[in-house]
Amino acid sequence: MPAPLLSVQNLGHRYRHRAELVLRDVSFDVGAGEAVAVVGRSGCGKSTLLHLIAGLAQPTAGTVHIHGEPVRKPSARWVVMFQQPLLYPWMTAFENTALGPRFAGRRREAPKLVGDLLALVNMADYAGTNVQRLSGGQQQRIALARSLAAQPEILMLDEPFSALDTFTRRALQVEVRAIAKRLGITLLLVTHDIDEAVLMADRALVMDARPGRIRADLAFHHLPDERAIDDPAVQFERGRLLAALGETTQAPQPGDFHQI
Amino acid sequence: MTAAPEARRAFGRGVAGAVLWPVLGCAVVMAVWWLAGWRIAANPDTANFAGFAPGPTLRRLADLVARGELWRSVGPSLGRVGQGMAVAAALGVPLGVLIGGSKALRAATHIPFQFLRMVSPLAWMPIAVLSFASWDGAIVFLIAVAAVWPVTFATANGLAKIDPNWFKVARNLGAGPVQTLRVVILPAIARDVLTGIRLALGVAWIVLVPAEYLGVTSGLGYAINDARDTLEYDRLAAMVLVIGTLGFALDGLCLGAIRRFGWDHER
Repeated sequence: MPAPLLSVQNLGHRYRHRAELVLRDVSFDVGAGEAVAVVGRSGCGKSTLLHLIAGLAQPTAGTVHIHGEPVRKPSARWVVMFQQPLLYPWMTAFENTALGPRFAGRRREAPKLVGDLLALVNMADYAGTNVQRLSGGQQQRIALARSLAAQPEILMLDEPFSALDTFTRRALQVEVRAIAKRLGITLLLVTHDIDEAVLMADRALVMDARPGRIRADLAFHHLPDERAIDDPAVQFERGRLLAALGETTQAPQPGDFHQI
Repeated sequence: MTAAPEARRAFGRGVAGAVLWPVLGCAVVMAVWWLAGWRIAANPDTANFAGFAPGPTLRRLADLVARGELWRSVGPSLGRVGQGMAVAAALGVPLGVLIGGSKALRAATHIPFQFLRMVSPLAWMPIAVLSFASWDGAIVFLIAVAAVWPVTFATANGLAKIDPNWFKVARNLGAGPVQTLRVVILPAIARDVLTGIRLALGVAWIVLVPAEYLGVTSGLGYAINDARDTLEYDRLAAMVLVIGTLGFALDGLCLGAIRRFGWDHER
């Protein structure tokens, strides 16, 4: 069996000494190219978990390894896309997108790479536009292009579409999954949106709160690569996920899916 | 059908705001100046000061320009203010970045810096004269002492306002400390720094005239002092007019720079 790309072992965290435990004994592996959603209610520690994995904060206990190497600080090899686009408002869409290559000293390849990525997220026409003039959805597309321009192995998404309207959110959920699959990028998504998890992930880790820990590890066996929310298979896995979260009393069985 | 009259009204309001009101304000000041000059000239007790009136002042100003005397006063003054501002910016911006970036340093420097800020720059005159070999050096020091605080505090304030998530994004995309400074911090605080420089320039320009009473034989402050001693009140008033006009122009340049380099006007 190949070694996992990302390995989280016995992760625990509290914000201050003697403060309440936010995460306890969180362990899971993610394989290369997988799309994994961490699902749970608000405040269960999902975002904290993502920040610890990305090296943006240090855990109180446990370890995070990527390619077998311990994660101690952020790296452009694993990039977080945040809930807000967090674009630099004095820059154009192109300049924001080109930051990863610029920081890595790869300025020469930036024009071609950034041009391709802006086209990929359907924002090629806005390359020279100051990002303050873009809508929320357009800004989030630029944030996606910026994350991809760093050419990460893992793209970590911290509820990145929660501030967007339903139509834009749905479109981006499908697009991000398709782009990640096409580029071979591993996705680690944190969300409280069941539909988002089912549309974007191959597998869901269900979290409990206070302290945050993994309650269930659910693989979406029945889902095709390209998904729509009204697809019966998507609805079936949605039901399983809801049951795992304790939102319904009865989980759908495999036989139920074949009857749909 | 109502769009055209509304557009005409909006255009009218724009012209009034941009041209009519400023012209009216200046006209009122000119009228008060003319009236005061006429009263001074008409009163035998004050007739010696009639040179302050608009007519003699403007005639003398034209004469100063024609004979090149004006530039001989303005040039050295601009040079001293430029040097003082350069020193203030060179000290104030890094100091502000350090203070804005460190809560401990902010707390440690708050009392001493507020104390120093409250000391009139002119109170440093004896120390400046003792510390510098040349009068020019002493004047540049006084201007820098006056100008450093607005630059420092505005820079620190700008840094403290930066969204901490911008640092997170930069680290996340692989930026080192120098790249974060160049790509994130400096553009983010540009508007605050320039606003600080604008305030500092105003203070420096005010400090310039009394500072040039010190020993030097050039500059606008010297010219005013000299005009007073020689009882040339038209020359004195012309120099005051030049100081005000130049100060206004320098402030306009700063405002232009703020508009050019500030990023929140894009919204």
